[in-house]
Amino acid sequence: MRTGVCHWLAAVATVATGSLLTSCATVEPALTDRQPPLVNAVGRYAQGEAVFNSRDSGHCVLCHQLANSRAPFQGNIGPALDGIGNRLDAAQLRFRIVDSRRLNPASLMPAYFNTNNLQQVATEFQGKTVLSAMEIEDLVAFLAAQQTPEA
Amino acid sequence: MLLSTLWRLGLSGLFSLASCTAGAAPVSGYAFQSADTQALQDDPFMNPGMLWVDAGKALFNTKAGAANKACSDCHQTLEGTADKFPRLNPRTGALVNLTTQIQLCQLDQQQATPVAYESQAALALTSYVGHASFGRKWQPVTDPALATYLQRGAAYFSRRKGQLDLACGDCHVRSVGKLLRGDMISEGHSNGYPIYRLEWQSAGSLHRRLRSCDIGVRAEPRALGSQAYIEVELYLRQRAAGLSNETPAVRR
Ligand code: HEC
Ligand code: HEC
Repeated sequence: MRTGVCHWLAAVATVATGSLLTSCATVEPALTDRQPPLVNAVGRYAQGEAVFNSRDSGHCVLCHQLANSRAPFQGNIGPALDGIGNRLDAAQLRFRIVDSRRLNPASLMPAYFNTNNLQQVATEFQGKTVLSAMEIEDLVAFLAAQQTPEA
Repeated sequence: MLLSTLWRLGLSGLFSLASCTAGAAPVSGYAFQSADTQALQDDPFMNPGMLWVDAGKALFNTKAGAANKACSDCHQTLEGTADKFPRLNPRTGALVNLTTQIQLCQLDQQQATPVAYESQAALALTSYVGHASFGRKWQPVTDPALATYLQRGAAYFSRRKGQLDLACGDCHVRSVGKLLRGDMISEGHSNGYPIYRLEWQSAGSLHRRLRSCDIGVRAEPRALGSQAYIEVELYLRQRAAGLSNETPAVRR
């Protein structure tokens, strides 16, 4: 399992441009649902909201609803994300965005930072992750701030 | 890790096939449309797809090509013709759908230049012949010579693909009735094609629809009229057995 994680991180390293990555030697034991930052930068709420809504970017509203996102026509293939910041911390949110199929292989949620084991990828997207490390950081900042007062 | 590899190798495929064959009767995409869109489909005088059917009728009866023959010179009864496709062309042995068969007739019988796949003329002729089978129930595919193609079509349907790594069945089996932004996901049946799609402001073929779905998951789409898509079309026909032909259906 430990080697598996190393392989996976190595693969991430090849696609992430200019980001700080934990080296294999310091990786925490596997079977965690936490992902350390992919880039050494502070995520920005407003940019994160744009990534969440934009058709050309994360487009998370394709499957998720979020009252704070203000995007018209929100999907419901995934759960509503209102108050998600109460339930998941930044590292847990990041883990799910990077590749939620590490938690649930049958998940319908695409992996946003993975280029492995993909088939028939359109030429323009080959070898590219859906989101950049910075976009993921922005998204994490946006989602972590989705907190409901009562929780 | 192991599990996810297994999954990518095809567990998801087994899942979608199993739940599809074991499931209840198929439900047409019609049931997932708004009342307005349904009403538009139901009224032959309002249904915009009927424009293509009418244009197709005219083309069907027009002599063309070096042979100076019309389709109608060789084909009198059209009812039931569309039901037989995709099938193997008896002369060439190649897998053809209704549109690529029409192209073959134009080339060989009329000695004319075949219509381009998504051209207005191709859509018109396909709509006219398709509509001639309106209301007929689709039967399961039984020809053993089609088994390999059927299997390949089923594999295409259940294989995850594209940058978003989703299979057809992830949406059309596992997410039926859910909203993908503004679209309610249907079972993905093909019984009304060519359709008139409001978003396209035009008639369009099944293969155009398949390209949209592939492009949606950022997969490299197959060509219109390609063998890969005709195999998927064959599998879709099998999945839709029991539904009636609705050509030309109207979709949002
Ligand atoms: C094609 C559908 C789809 C898309 C697109 C999608 N998700 Fe998801 N998401 C799901 C599903 C389904 C789940 C439920 C858990 C599972 O199946 O893995 C989920 C779960 C989650 C969770 C965990 C929720 C919880 O309560 O534990 C988070 C956080 C999340 N998604 C964020 C995102 C973000 C951010 C994006 C865009 C970058 C996104 N999702 C895009 C389908 C999707
Ligand atoms: C990410 C979700 C998604 C995936 C994956 C997907 N589709 Fe679709 N598909 C849709 C949506 C949304 C529509 C439009 C609404 C509807 O009719 O379901 C649609 C429509 C269709 C239709 C038209 C149904 C009708 O009644 O007109 C067919 C046929 C179809 N898809 C087949 C496929 C096939 C085959 C694949 C794989 C090559 C596929 N889809 C992959 C979301 C998807």
